[in-house]
Amino acid sequence: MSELERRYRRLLAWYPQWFRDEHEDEMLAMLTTDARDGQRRPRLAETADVIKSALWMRLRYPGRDPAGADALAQFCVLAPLFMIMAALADTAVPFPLPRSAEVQYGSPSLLAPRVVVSYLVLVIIAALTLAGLRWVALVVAALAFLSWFVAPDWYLVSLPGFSVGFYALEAAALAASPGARRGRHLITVSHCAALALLAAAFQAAILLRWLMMAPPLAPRRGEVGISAGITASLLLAALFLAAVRKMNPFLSLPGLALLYPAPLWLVLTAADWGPSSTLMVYAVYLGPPGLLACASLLFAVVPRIRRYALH
Amino acid sequence: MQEATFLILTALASGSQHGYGIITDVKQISGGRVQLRPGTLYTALERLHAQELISVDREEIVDARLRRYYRLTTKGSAVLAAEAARLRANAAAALSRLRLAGGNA
Repeated sequence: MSELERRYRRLLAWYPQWFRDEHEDEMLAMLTTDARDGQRRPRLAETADVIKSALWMRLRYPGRDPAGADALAQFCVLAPLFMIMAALADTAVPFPLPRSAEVQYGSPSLLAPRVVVSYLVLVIIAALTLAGLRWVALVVAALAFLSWFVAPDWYLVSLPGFSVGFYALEAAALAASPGARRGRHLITVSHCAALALLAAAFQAAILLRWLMMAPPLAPRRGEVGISAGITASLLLAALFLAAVRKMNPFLSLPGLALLYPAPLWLVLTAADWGPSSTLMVYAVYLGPPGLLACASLLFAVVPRIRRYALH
Repeated sequence: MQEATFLILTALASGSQHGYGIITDVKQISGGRVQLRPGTLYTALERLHAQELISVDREEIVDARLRRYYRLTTKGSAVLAAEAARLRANAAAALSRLRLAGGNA
């Protein structure tokens, strides 16, 4: 490959991957055929033309990048499994709390009606996605999301906004991705290992929070808690990024949107501060997953609307 | 319809062509006035393909590189014919009024 061809390839990298897969060879042939004798780099007008049209393609077909869509497909299969593991960790591994904290924050009994129903919803969503029944799973996730506004206490994992953030992201991923069957097809052993790793890290975060709330650490929470919280948060983020490093990088976006309440929760507990109103809870815990869910839906829906409009 | 789009569809009206063929044909049809660049051409081809006005006719490997030929679809032919008729009617109206006004057309 000549130096000029290599530079043209670098220039064509401005296009989204799906476009390069379809047209890169043709465009490269055209550009090199048109090159003058002795030309060593792309001409200015060619560069401007390619960059302009590449940016246009990215804006016009935002949902067509297979890597992004595939990441959402993987997410819609992996997230319910993670939620079940996280919920099991939260409810099945009790931590001795002082009586006051137990009343306010304690994990509910596994047999409490809200816990049974919440587990059931998670298991149904996981089973439907594994079975590839995307639209039924989407309806269940959307209903679960909406029900939180009616009965905000009926959620698993004693972390504000965590379950409802999951339902929003899951419904958006099911709607915007190629579907659960595609996701199931793309899941590898590495994903399962990462899932177990994250569930363990999540459980460690929960235990650390209980530890900060229980004697003897509770009175000195302000002194030791912040550093412990930040260390645990960084560890959780590092584990997550290490886990997804060799996977589809786009998976990190919905993953971080789902997981970020855990480190945030730790830091807020350590700092002895919590959102003082329901609106603040929404903003702090539901902002990023909500925004990402809306963005995923927009990226998936806008090209479809445009296609219908063109017809 | 933009002029470049009209010219691309016109270039494909007589038979399937690959990208480079379309560029040279468009230049010839427009008397050298319109010279498409690869980025503009493939953006237009992608859009026309999404609108189902063109489709891929065949693919060939030439000098170890893929060469894709595009052709007009039935819908593309109909759209081009309608646009040509519209332009002809507009041109006829313009020429007729210029004649009435005593122009040299």
